[in-house]
Amino acid sequence: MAKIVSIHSFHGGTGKSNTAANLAALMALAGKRVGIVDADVQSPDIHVLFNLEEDEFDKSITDYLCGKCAIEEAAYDCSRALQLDGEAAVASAGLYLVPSSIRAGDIARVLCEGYDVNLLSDGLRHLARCQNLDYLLVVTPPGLSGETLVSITISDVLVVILRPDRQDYQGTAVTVDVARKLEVPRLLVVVNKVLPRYDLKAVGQAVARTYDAEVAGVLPLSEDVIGLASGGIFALRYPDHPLTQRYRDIAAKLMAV
Amino acid sequence: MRMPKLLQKVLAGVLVLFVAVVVTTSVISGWNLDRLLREQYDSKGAALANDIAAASVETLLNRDASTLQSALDQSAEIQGVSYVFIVDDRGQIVAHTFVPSVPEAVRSLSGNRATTTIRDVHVDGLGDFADIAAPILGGEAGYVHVGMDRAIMANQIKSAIAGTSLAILVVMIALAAAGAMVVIRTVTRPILRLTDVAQSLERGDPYRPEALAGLSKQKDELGQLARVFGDMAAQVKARETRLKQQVEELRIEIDQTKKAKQVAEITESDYFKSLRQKAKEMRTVRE
Amino acid sequence: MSKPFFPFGILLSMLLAIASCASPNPPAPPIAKSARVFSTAPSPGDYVIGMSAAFTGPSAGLGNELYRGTAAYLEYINRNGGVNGHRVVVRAYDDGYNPNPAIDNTVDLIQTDDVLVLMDYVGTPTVTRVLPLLKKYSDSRVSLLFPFTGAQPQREPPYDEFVFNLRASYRDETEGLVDRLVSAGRKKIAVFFQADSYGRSGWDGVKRALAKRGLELAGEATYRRGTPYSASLGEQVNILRKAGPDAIISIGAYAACAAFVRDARDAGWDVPIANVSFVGSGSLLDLLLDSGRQRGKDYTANLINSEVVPSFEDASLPAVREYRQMMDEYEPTAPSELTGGQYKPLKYSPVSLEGFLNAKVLVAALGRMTGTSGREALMGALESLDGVDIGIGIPITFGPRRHQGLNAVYYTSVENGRFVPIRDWRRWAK
Repeated sequence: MAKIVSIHSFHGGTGKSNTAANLAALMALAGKRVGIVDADVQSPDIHVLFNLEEDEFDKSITDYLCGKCAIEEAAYDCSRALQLDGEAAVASAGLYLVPSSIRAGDIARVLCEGYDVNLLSDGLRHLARCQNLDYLLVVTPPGLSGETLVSITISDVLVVILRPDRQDYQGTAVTVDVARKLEVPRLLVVVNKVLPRYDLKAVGQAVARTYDAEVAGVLPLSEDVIGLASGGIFALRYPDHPLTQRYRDIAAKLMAV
Repeated sequence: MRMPKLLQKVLAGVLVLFVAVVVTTSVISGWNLDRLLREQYDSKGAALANDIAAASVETLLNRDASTLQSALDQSAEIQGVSYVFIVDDRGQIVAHTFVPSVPEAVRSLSGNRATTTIRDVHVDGLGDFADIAAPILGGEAGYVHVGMDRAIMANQIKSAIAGTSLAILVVMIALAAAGAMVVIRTVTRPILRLTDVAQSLERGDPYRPEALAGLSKQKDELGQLARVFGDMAAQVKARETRLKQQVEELRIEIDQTKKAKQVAEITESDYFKSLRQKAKEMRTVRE
Repeated sequence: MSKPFFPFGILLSMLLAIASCASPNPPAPPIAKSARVFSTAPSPGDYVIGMSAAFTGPSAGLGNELYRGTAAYLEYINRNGGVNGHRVVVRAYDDGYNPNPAIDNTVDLIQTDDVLVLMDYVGTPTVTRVLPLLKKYSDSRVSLLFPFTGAQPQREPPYDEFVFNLRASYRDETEGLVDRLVSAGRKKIAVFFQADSYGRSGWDGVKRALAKRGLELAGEATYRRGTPYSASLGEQVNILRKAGPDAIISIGAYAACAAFVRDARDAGWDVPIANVSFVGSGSLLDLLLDSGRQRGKDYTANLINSEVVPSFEDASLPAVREYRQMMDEYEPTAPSELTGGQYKPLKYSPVSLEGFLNAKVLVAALGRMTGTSGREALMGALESLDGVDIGIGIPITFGPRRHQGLNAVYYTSVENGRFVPIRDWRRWAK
């Protein structure tokens, strides 16, 4: 049975997409079959990281949620992204992306009409079965909207990402409380975009203390990430970077139990 | 005022230098003094010998030995004179001032008919002398021998050198003390101040720029050092402060009331409640 | 109270220190000018006799005994009306047997004390240094009478005109001793003598006497003037013994000569040792008897002493009888300020007898002063003495060119702890 991991943050710009993409890639490289769903219909961006051009895909999660297609039709195999400079891809790896639509009209429609929680839930499970996935990462929209709550409800693991910023602190506190009320089986916190001059360990400890939750990782703000400018997946481009190691550690935590 | 080890080393080196100077001075002085005194004593002895020679002529020829002896005894009282004796034309000693007897080393000394002869003589048990022989009546009547005591000379040299060395040493120590005072004032005090500030920084005390204010104004290398040091210290302190601040900023403040309100807004909605119900069902199904 | 003493004390110790450095002879104590002491203070009209001699130190016996002999006779004269109604008084100073104090004392006696005549001086080194003074003061016509020394300088020009000698000279003494010893078969004669003009004088005399007989000195050794009896003369004994003499003539002072005899006898050397009159035989004998008693030894064997006055045991001589009687009656002593109270007088001694005889001749001359009394008159009176009998069996004659009174030499040796005339020289025959 696939594990459903929601990647969520209270505010936008916390680096959910990037983090989720990196985690998915690393987990696939570790031999798992991973699916990643860009449920953040307001800002569709994961396909960019996987170098999936707009003209290369015509179906998206939006289409599924509007009943226009089956979900497997919106899932694209991105394992070639795992290939690095001609190296052979890892055998049992499977990396499937369900992108979000970039069509403005679609976005608007979904926002106004919302979607059925069951629909999402069934669709995700179906996708997981179809592709025989081990893990299904769902990048939720920011904030505790209905879609997010649905996502959280059906998740096995909730990863809450925050920046060391007052607004994020406040919002995360609400999220954590709510998630607990929904009885999410596992709650992980990731602190992202921390200024390097901070003591990362101290930051992690402070956050863990504050929310009484497990901090899966503390990710420093990296000039190299910014320099990559969403031109690819960082962990694949810089496999030996200390930041990549941190991603690996988080992935390891996800894959444990 | 405690003395830094650096200054101690320097002073030790200076002391060694002083001692070397004093020793060299002593040796040179001693050598010079020896030469000069030797000349002095020898000329004194020669003058005396010639005086006696001149005065003895008549006595030697006409009188008995006791008048001669009387003259010799008087001469022997002169400072530096160890002995006097007269030999006659046959080489026999006719009067002398030796007790208990004339030493062998001296008995054999001869004279020159034309001039005063000066010789260094060593007598076992008595010491070293300069024997000055003056002819009486061109050697016809005999010779006068005056023995000048080298030991007195040596003692005079020793005490002179000791005195000089002592004086030099005292002067040098005084100069060294004065010099040390000056060095302490201009060099070591600033250095000690720098090391004090460094140590206090090490301990973690707050950095006070005014501690180095005066020193930084100096136009020499010490002033430069102080300025650079001050800049570095300020940087170190600023970095520490920033770090401390950063740790503080990590105090995550959650407005609990607000949060509770927001949470309630969400969780008390029917939608939420239905979701919860659904969640339970889903989970049970799953299992 | 202490303040004035402090600088004075320092000054005095400085002076003493300097003075002790100046004197090369051990251990004679320096006589600082301020320490001199006077004898009886003369009254106007008295004939004042000036004397500088050794009243302290290792030769104190000489000055003291000489003074005592003179004082005994003068006491007698003064108690019996003096000379022409004038008392005869001695003004004495201590010179410790050192020339420089002797000179100072003489200057004082002539200039300050304005004495009539100088008499009873002791020692060759002292007298020899005073002679030029007499020449310097020749205008004041001061004479030196009967000095206790047999040396030549005061017996020869240019000083003989200022000095009258009573006693025979060392040349006489040494000639006599050498003659007796050589006749006894002892031809290898060595000399032990004081390292000054006195010793040299005796040495010279022995040499001349030996040269006359075609002989040479067998050996010689000296000692420093002022050597006390406590010193060791062992080195000198060794030097002389190595020379292997069969007799020793000793020209010294009683302390050193006694020490020499003691050390020679302690070393097991019994060579005959002859001393001259200046030694002060009474004091010499005293020391040797004392040590002999302490160590249970006889140090007086094989001792010969030449004298220039008859034996004070010879009661056949009227002068000797007078001497003994007056010494017993008056028990004269030098003033304690002079001697420091240290001197232990001898009952009789050849030295005091000589002082006694000196006084007799003086008084005889004083009695003959005619016309003005004064130095010149006295000199004239002395020179006028012709065949005067002073009770020793030899007449005294002086003259303008003749200032030597006696030539007699007497020989003594020790028997039963006393010096007695030698009657038989055969006991020293070799």
